[in-house]
Amino acid sequence: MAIPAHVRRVITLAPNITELVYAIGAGDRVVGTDDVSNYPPAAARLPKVGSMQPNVEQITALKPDLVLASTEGNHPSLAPALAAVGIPLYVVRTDRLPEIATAMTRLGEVLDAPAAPAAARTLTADIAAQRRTRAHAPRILFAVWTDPLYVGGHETFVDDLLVLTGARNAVEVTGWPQYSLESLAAHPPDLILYPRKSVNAQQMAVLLEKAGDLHVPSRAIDEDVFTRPGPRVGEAAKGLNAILDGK
Amino acid sequence: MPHSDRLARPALLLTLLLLVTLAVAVAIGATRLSWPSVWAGDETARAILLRIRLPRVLLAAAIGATLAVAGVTFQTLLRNPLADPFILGVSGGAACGAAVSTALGFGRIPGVVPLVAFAGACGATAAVFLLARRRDHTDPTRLLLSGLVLNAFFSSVILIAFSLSKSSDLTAALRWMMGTLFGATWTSVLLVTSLLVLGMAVLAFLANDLRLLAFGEEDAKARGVNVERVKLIGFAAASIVTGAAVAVSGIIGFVGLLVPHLIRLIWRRDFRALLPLCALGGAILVADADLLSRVIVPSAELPVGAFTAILGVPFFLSLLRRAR
Amino acid sequence: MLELRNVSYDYAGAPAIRDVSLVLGERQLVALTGPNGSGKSTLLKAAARVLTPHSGTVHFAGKPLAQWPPKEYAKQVGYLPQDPDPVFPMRAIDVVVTGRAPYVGRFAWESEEDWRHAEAALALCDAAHLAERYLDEMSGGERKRVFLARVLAGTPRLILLDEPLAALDISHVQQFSALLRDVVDRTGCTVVFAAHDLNWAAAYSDRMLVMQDGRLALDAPPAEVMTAAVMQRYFGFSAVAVENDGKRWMLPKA
Repeated sequence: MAIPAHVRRVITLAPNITELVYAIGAGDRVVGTDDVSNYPPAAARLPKVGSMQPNVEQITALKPDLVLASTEGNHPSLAPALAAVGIPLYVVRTDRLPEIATAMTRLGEVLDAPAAPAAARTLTADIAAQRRTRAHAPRILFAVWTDPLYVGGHETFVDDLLVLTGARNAVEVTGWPQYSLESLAAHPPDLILYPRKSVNAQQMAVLLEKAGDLHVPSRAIDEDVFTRPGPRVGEAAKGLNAILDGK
Repeated sequence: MPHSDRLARPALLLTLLLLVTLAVAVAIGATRLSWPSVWAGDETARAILLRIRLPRVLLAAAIGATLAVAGVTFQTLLRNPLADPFILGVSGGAACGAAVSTALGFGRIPGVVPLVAFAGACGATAAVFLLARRRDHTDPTRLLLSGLVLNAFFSSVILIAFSLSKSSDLTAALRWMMGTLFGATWTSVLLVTSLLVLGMAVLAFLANDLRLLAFGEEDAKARGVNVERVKLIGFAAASIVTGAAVAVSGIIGFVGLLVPHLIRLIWRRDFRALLPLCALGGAILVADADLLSRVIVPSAELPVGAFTAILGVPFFLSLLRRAR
Repeated sequence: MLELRNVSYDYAGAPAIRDVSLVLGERQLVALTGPNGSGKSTLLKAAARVLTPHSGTVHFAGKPLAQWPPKEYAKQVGYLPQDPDPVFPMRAIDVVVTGRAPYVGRFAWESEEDWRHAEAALALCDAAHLAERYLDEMSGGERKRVFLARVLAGTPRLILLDEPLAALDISHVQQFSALLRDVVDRTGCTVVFAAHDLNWAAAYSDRMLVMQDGRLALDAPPAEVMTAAVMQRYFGFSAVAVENDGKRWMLPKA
């Protein structure tokens, strides 16, 4: 379906897309978001249309000109469903760090947001400012869940952040697989990061005990900032650098 | 007619196979263990072997044995070759308990979810039994139907719990649906093994009566079997051990259904011999499946339930073709 | 040997057998007949201890059933239900040896003696050649003989068979009826078999029981039962007698 020239009402289906739209100055045009979008605070107050399986009825009721989704969203049935009610869908690729600035620019074109190019340049500069090299690159493990242990491996957004800030990913796997407890015990990382809303310190302690009483420091991080490929990535990198410097 | 080796030869063969399987499973893992270093006292190597790998291998064997024993028991009690340990609502009850408790936020407290899953499993079986009971007689067909219906009901509850929860909680509930032996502890090994031994003792006690059920309940009654009591105790024993297995490792499919048939196809025996042979066969299957799930992708782990099927099904099909 | 006194049983309120009194002695071939629903199966089940009567008493060898431990009773009384069907495939010899179950201890396997009894039972039923074959490879007649052997393997004194002749080919019906007679004559036990076909029921039996509406209406030798009057009164059809090799057969009038 063709995208209209003037997009006045937008629905965003991923939290990072929501943040990107606001960051390029088009936030006032967002009329609905997915359940998880909670930043900026204004977006948190908008009507919600579901998360894993967006509710097409609710989307339609909000009369959007355009629906924005990310490639991570896995909505194979969404495009035809929306096309059936005459609503165009635009999918933005934002899986990896270098793609964020590009996504900003693209969104700027689609939404005709004049602030977009500048925002993209600022973002790129912010990212570049956080680039570090460290003499002894610390080995970081990002744990998504502890029972069983799921990690962020290579070729992920989290990995990009680690590489940027001069750290190294402690695991040798790709994607977001379940990780072997033996490998954790045999190659303990220097630091474990975990999302504070999904995992608590007690669960982390249980994991470390099961791995043979590993004494590895762990830090809870705000997953809304650290795992969303969005405009706050500079803040995420800065926070990560602070953790790594303070260590 | 040679009758004395009804159990001895197959049992010996399977025991040997199990020992080989366990040895290989302990020797191979995600990390390469240097045996001299283990012997010399390397802390990390010892921790990996004794706290991670060994309990996991033993747990895999114990869970496999439990599920196969429960499977053959349910198939015998229900006189239905398609019965598996989860058929009477155990899977639904356990998964529902796990899903609801994680959706309510109790997933953060260690030990709560397995306990609720166990309670759910046992509660579901009790409910199925009560639903199917009529004038102190429980008809196998009604039991099967009640189990099916209850499982369907639980599936809906789980779906609702899923859609209402945050995506991170999904991972937790998925653990129960897919089954995993990750994080096996000596405690869980002890728990499952002792329940298995107890359960098998009870079922061995009832074995002579259980095998007579194959001819029908009235026939068994005429042969002096207290059918209702045997059914009650048999169901209780099989459900409790299954509930514990599911609470510890989630739902690992195919074992309970497949292993009894595999054993029957190779050695045609009645329940008295099937009981220990299925325990051995189930242990071998799950220990091997878990080994594969641990080593196929370096450092990563794949769902063990996928490998029980991948290993078991081709073997089963080839036996089926050769049989008749 | 077996004595029923005023035995009644109902299924969910509807009476199946009412006030049945009966005495069975040794060495008898007894045919249990009656229209559908007259209570034949129920009577056999009450005697086999599959059901407990709601009123009346059952005594075996002078003792009430309640005083017989179930396994001991199973050694004395053998029962074969209508359509036995072991769900999992089994060989004939394995089926037959389960008839020895009451003799086998809780944690024991069958003894050599048990296997000998099983083989002897198969031979008695002219089915020794079927020992190693699987049940689902046999004809209906062969299966019935295997199941009869199963009952015989337990060496009971009283054998209760529910419709053993049903769905058999004519040649097999003939064989099987003769076999029952043979078993009674050779072992001295008593066989009670429920039958639909009156003529075959009468052919070799010493005694015929006729059930009607749950009551034991008639208990007499075949010669007295196989009359046109009885056929009309208890079975509801007009019959004509035909001489068949020394036996009187009742055929429905055309």
